[in-house]
Amino acid sequence: MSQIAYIDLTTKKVSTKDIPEQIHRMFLGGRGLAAYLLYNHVEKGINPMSPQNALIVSSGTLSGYFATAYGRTHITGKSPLTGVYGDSNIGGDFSPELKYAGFQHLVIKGKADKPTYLWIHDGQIEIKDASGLWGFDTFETQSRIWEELEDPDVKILCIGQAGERLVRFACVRSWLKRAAGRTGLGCLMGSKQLKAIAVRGTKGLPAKDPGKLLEVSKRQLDYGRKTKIFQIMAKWGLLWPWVVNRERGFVRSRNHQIIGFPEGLGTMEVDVFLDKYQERMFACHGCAMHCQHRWEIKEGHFAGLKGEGPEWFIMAGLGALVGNPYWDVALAAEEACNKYGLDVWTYANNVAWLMELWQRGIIDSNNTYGLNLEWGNRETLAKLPALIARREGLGAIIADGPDEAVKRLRKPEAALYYHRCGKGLDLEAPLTQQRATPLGCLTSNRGNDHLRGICNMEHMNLPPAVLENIFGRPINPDPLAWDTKAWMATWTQYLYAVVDALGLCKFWTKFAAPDLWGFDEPLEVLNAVTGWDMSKDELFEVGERIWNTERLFNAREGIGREGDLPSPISTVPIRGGRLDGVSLEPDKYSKMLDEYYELHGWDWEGRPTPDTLKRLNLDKEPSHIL
Amino acid sequence: MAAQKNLLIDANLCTGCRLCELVCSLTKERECRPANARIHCESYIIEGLRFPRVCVNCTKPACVEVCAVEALRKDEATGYVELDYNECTKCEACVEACPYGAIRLTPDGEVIKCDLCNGDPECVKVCETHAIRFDEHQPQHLTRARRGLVSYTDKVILEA
Repeated sequence: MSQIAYIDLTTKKVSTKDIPEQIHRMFLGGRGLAAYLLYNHVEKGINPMSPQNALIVSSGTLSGYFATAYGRTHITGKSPLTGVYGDSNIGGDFSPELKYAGFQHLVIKGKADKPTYLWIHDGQIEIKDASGLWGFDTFETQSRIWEELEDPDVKILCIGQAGERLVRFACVRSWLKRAAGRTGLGCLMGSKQLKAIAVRGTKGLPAKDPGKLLEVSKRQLDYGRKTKIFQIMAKWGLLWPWVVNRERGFVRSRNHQIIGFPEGLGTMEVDVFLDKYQERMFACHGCAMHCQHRWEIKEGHFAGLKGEGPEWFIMAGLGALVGNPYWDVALAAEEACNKYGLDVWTYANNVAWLMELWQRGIIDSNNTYGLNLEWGNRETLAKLPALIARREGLGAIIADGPDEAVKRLRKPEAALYYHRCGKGLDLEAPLTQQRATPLGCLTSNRGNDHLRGICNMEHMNLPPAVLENIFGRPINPDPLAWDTKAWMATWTQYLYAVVDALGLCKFWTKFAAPDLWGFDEPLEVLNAVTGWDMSKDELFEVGERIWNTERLFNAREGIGREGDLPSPISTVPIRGGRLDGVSLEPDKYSKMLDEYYELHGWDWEGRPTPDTLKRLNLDKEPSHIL
Repeated sequence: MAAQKNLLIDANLCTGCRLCELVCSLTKERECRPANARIHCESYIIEGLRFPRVCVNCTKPACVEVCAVEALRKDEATGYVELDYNECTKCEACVEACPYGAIRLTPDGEVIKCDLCNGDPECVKVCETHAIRFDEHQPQHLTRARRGLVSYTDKVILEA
């Protein structure tokens, strides 16, 4: 069975352990066991940039099996950006290959004495010299590795120059646009002088019931392909949320100041991308939905540029948020973030912040090293990623996060306009006109994030009977109602935790549409593969256990209730339109948060109580078994 | 020769999902092991190419020509190229000779080749974009297969 490998880059020692079935069943792989491993291998209070931090790379329990779509990889560590629980999930094809090479988790500690990359192949782990890769962007790095190892089928995770230069929001990359974007894990990787991890495997993954696995997966694939959401994603990729979200008033432009993006009408549109730039679609490992666009810009200022992406976040971030109505500018900015290895949302949030400061006359070209920060400025948007990666000019100001940036600008009032939530992660999903969603996002253990807690079904106008069938309890279908939402957020968070532990892509689940996977469908595959007779309740509890382990890490670091609170801007009432007066009212949110804590068996600061830990078999942690 | 159904590949439609490899290995070998699949999808990430390689039953199979023990033969009736695993000496001449890279060597040293799953190929059923089809062949397709891809370390050349 797939093992855990422990790699110390300081001593260059590598050791391995099997995963006892009982522990695997309690946490599952991917994000699950990674939470256990982080809690066990990192002490309280360590500096995230120190060799004591762990970079944990994890395949899902079902990664590499015939099932759709379990090709995602989870990366975990103490975040250099926020100082709390850090993790991120990346698509592509790395996690199945890691399993074919014999490993499910890599626990990487220490720091290499020079630029290094890992070459993992069929049970072997080599620590190789990366001096020929250091200084190159993510595209060039991967090309060089395929060249050096003489095999285009090697799968790679890498950092760009931003990670090498320890930019706090640098991320881990694969292919042309795949990213483990948030919480600065590229910076963590760079702090270990680890440039890349390359893997190639030819081992097999046995299933306890191969016939059943064949039957289940073929049936699920046939079902999935007939759903409406599948048709939409196969054609529109991940651009379709733009249309839906704009209608619902979730798109905010000019650094969250304005609801909607009026100047983008007619240009920043999904159809414009599909007509002018789209070439074809690619897929992650094991996925029939193939939602990844390949594009080319054929005319204009950026003619000749080719790349992959975008997702609706590019439209929302590099379009609306920074006041840019033009696709080619957004694509060029995305390409630069892709190459240098920066998280696109954090980049967009930083630029939008600077642009609002410029708008308000708080900064001018003296502060920006000559760059023009007018809304949508093409030059700035396309150039700034390189400057950040090289720590030059304005890039040097923002490379180390917003608190440092405010100090370096010498403008204390600037802090008012950088929008981030409790644990320090940037505001992204609008939290104002929903209830379960802000609760789910804000209580996420890495910080405000839709991939850990968005309740998309909150605003789909689903009949109560459908909601009750899905969530197992009555759910109020009104997005502005406060009651029943603590349960909605909880159920959703546990589902995503299980999804991330199995290696599954959320776009095959109820994250995307009510008729896609909940707990049942992955459970069928899991039981066919492992031979377990796991029930839905047990799987739900696995989600709860993962959630509590992550929470335990943050509690140990001293994070309490303040980590679950929204950015001030979310509590400001919307003015005008059909949502006039609506806001995330702090007293009502606080009450809902209390209900949420009680549901979880946590104290008034949101710390798991001894009883809860005992019930979940977490009372002996850190147990140091693995 | 009577019209036969054959695997027809259009690499332009391939998304690189590799469900074909997974269903092939699980069906044939009862485990998920793409290294043992009879079909292999090569990915060229930067160039943006995905190239499925599987036996397309050439009109004049190079593998049949080079096989010293006649373990490979082209069936007169069906037109399919069949590999007799008992006769195979694993000399790997066919692996070298196939211009399409469709005959594969497993990590354990076995020579494997697609046998169309007894006339109902599984890979076709999971291929979302129909990059792999099972249809009546046209001679042009088979001729195309004979020219195929030049190796990666030289340069990727797709010959039409």
